[in-house]
Amino acid sequence: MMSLGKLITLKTNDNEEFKLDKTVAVKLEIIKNIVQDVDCTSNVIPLPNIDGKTMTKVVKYWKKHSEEGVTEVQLKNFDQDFLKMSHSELHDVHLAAKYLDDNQLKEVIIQEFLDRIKGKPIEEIREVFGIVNDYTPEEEEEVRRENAWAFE
Amino acid sequence: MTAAGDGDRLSNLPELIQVHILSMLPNCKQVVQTSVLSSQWRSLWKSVPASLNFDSTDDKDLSGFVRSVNRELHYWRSCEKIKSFSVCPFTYDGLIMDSDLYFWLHFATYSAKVEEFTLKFCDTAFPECMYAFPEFAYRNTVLRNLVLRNCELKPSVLSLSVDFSGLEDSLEEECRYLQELLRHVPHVKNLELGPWCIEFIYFVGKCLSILELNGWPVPPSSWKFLKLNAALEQLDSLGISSFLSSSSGLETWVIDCCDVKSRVSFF
Repeated sequence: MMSLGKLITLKTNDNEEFKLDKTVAVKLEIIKNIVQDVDCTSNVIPLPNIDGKTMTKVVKYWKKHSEEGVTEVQLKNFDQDFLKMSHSELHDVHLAAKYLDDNQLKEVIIQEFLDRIKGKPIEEIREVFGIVNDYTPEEEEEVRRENAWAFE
Repeated sequence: MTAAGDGDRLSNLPELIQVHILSMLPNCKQVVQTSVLSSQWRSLWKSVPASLNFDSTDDKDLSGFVRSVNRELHYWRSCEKIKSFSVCPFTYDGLIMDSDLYFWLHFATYSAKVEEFTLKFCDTAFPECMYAFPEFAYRNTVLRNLVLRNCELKPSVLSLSVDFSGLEDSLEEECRYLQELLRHVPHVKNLELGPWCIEFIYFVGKCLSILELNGWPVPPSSWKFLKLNAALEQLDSLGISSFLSSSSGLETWVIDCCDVKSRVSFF
């Protein structure tokens, strides 16, 4: 059991280490499980699916959201700022939140994804998400014709 | 996790997440439009639970409204899951064909098997004729949420005409009618009826003393929410309480009186 010390170290796949207060870390199911199950004397938890750049963001989010006395407004402003990242970074954070089983962060990311595609024209959604259009012009025209009623 | 790259980002999200994101789009047509994104997206919209809303904002072109609803429903038939279907034409008075309404109800009940169905005629004036909401459309077991306005809701097993000359008899008949109705919709968790939907309640409120309704053996139900928009000026708490005592699961009861002079103080 990892009971000694207040800090837990999370180690990403590119060997970056994040020292977290245990009270912050054990809020997450996955960390809690590892802490309970693994006899880990080094207090280091490897995160093989997450890189340092992404983990920096996630830890920033956790720290802010577990700050004592933080107000709703402050969190709202923080989130707004936090979500100002590229689509691919957002995607990486989503995968990390998913791996870490952090539902709150997952929801925030999903909502951001939604806001980014809501009401946008097709071309823009493609551009925003880097979707590769593998239709030939003829095929695309066919799909548009097929669903023409939705484009009225 | 690899760095950015040229990947198809949203398409890399697991399909469940994609469907989840699409289902949150407020405009269901935009969900269909995503079919053009790439071949992977071509049919994805069909598995996104859709919520269809048709509001007639313009009362002048009712037949145009009906046509556009019919046309769009035709296309939505290829969608695997339609969660809710709401249609709000301006008025029923003579301008909408029963066959169109039947088509919508049939679509909601049999084709789409929706959990939430709304049929509201938005006209706020006293309607000259009411749409008799057919029994088949609320007796299906999939329906969870039913909202009606300016529709007549009655089980077909009972006579539609009410004779108020013999109070005792008609009361009994009306009680049977209401019981019949309530028995048929026990699976509906949320029932919202607009003005004049239950003629019985309306006339009772106008003509009969509520005390005679005390002790209705209303069938037990699992309702949590019941809202009646009706003129209930003479109803008092006795009748209400007798109803409530037999609906133990009811959590919210709203009576929205259309008559401003109505007495609702006991709520």
